[in-house]
Amino acid sequence: MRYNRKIIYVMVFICVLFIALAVYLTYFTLFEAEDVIQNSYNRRTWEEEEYVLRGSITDRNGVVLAESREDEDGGQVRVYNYGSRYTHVIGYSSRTYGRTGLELKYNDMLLQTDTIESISEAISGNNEKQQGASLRLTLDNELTERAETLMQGKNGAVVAIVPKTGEVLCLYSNPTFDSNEEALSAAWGNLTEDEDSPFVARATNGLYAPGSTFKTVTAAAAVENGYEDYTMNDEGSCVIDGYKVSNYGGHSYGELDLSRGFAKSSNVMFATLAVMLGESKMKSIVSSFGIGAEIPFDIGVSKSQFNYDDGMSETDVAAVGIGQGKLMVTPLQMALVAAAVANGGVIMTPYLVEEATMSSGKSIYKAETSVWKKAITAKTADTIKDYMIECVSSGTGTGAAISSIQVAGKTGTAQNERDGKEHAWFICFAPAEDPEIAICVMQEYSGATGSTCAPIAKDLISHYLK
Amino acid sequence: MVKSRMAIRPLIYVLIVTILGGVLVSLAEGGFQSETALLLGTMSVCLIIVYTVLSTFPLGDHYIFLITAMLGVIGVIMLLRLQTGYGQKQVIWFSVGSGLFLLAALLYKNLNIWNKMSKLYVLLALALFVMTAIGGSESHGAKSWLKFGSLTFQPSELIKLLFILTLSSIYTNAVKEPKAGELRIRRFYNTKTGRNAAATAVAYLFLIFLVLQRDWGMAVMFFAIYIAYLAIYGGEKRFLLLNFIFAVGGGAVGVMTMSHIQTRIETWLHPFDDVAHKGYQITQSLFAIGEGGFTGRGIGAGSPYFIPEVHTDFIFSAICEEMGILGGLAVIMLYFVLVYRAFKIALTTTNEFNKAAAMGIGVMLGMQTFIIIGGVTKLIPLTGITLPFVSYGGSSMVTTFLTLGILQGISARGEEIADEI
Repeated sequence: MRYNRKIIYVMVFICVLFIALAVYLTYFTLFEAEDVIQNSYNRRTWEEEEYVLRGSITDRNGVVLAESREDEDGGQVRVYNYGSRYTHVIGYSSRTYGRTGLELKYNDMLLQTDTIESISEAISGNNEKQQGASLRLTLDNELTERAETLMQGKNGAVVAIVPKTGEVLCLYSNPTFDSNEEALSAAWGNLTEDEDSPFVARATNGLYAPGSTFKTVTAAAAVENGYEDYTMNDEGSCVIDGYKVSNYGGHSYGELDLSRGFAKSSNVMFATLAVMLGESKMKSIVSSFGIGAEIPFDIGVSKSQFNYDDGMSETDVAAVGIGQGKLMVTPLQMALVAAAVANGGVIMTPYLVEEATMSSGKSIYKAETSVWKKAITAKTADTIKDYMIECVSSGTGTGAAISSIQVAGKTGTAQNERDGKEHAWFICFAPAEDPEIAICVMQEYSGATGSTCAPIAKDLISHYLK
Repeated sequence: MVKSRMAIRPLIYVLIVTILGGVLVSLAEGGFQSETALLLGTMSVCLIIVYTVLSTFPLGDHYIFLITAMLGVIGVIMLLRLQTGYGQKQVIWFSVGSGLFLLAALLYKNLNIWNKMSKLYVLLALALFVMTAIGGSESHGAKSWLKFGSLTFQPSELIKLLFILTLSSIYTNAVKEPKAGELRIRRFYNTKTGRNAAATAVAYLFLIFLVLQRDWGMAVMFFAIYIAYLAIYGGEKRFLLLNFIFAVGGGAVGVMTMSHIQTRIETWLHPFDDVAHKGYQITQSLFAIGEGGFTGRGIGAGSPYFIPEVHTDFIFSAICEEMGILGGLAVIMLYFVLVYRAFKIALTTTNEFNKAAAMGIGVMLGMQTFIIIGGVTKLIPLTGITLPFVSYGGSSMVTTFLTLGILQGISARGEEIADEI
């Protein structure tokens, strides 16, 4: 019996090995499996396409954006009717390059067939492929086509949302690339090496300093906290904690109230206001608008960033007040800021997929509108709306003014990490009295100012509301 | 003798699983299959006969055969689902193996010669190694198979058992008082250092053959068994230390000089970097396990045939795909209980040789299960060895049954002695 103790040690060692197996297997299934099985080499994800013709994807009016056709060998080809227009939204479904965007997220629905129909077809010996369910999106193809034309040769994004519902009308990012299989394989090498990173969906995954468009948020904080009647004398620059803050182009605007300061986009006023509001009130307004939170959406969205967990200095607060500092947002996020003001302070959850219908006509999915954030009170929203109207009628945003429609908007020109080249922004909604569309236009590293984005928004609004 | 009289009841659970599995396999194949029914019927009859014999001649431990039966049934069901031909051969091997299991148990129990034949074990092992080296055929990079007509046999499976018996004899026989006029070598062999040296010589001799065959999984297992004996019976820290240095040094040299070892490590660390080629096997296995989730896709509803070698080395991945990791965890638990039985027998038996052999069998079963399941799940680098009783393959089935027969014999002897007391 003298070896029993050592035998027990060896037994314990082997026990540990078995426990390691069990724990690892459970860990793998809980945390790794989901990502692993989406690999395009997992042939299981393509198996169903031997029996099911992938469903089509249409815009809100039924215009077909993507469809599958059977080829001679019994396989199927995915056809994207508008080439590169929806690459950053619908994505692609390619045996070689995998699946992205809605093609990935809604893969199961696109391949879903009516069980009863499948069985009856099987019994009747019909070998033809079943048709998978089709998706109808909230996107407006005409509006997106317009955005595509307007953004030609410009890097950036256009996002358009219905403020009352959260339906996304347009989600366009440039540069983009043709998502049809043949085009992909021809261009793949160049795409992966392109310095313009065409794979980055600017609208949902690009993170930029919002610049002066963020004054909408700062103004909202000021109004909510009783600074509505605030006035000051703008001398073109001011010094906060040793740092000089200047207006764009060095202008001094003299005696300003909040509305005028907003319309003229006075950095001096909003940096000063932010400092007066202080760190906690700025942090609280930022989180009310959902900046830094995950936006629930049909495709992947980068979280906007507000990296001040360690506290903010006065200069940090001033910088955030004018949309600079360690604050980075996606164009989708800024469109939601505009939508919040348009919708009485309430941000509806944005969505892309309106419904999914099987070939039999049976609906298997229907989007439901829901509130994402109550950002500000209706009263504050009305006040900010007036500021935004003034900005378009007699401020920096006059480029978006339309004679027959009242447009409310805000320009922005954001400094960034690359020297000299600034991001240009414009957020707006229209008609101001009963908003039907909220838009965010962004041109990255363009060197342009916010006022050059305004005409793009104007064109889109008149196109949509015509 | 009341405690040896086993009720048939536990076996009923195994039979229920057999019937349920058969129904599912039939459904997956689109209706009643007389061949499936016949094969599972044969299997069930075989289980009942062996279990009845075990109960009639009290042969010790109740659980060894029950666990083996459950593992065997799970394996046969999975193989029938993959390809009826695999299942058919597996049932034959299982029947032959369980017959040998009974025979080995009876022989081991009734003969008392097993600790006196260490030279024979080594000679037999060397003969098998040499035959493999000369006439062996290659399969998947390892030259470790012997062909007899249509039958193939993997000698290292049997050598594994011989190795355990050899080490057990060396460590339990040797310590004797030196006699006058004894040869110096004999006297040295009878010292602690002497038997450690003997065990080490045998172990490294075998390891060299295995490395030449490029049978890495088997080499790791032999090494682990040897280390277990050394740790328990060696009584000399310097041998452990030397082996540690050798393992680290040899491993480092192997990794640096041998490209196929580098490839193995590479595909273990980054299998998704080259899914199409080097990482193909392991990633296909991970896809299968991942798709299975907790409850599995259902027997016949998965696509395990995407995994290369799914019926042998990767059967565990197929089980996980179709029965879920809950099924996989159940299989791990079964092996765990089997290993535990081996150690329990080692701890309770009084004969030193039998104790050492039972311990070695426990280590062998434990390590083999860990190496292959850990390999196909990417916990450790993949080295192809079989999953005992579940993987398709005759030599593994038959030799593992022989090994368990010995374990059964040891437990029967232990019990007899206990009864006498």
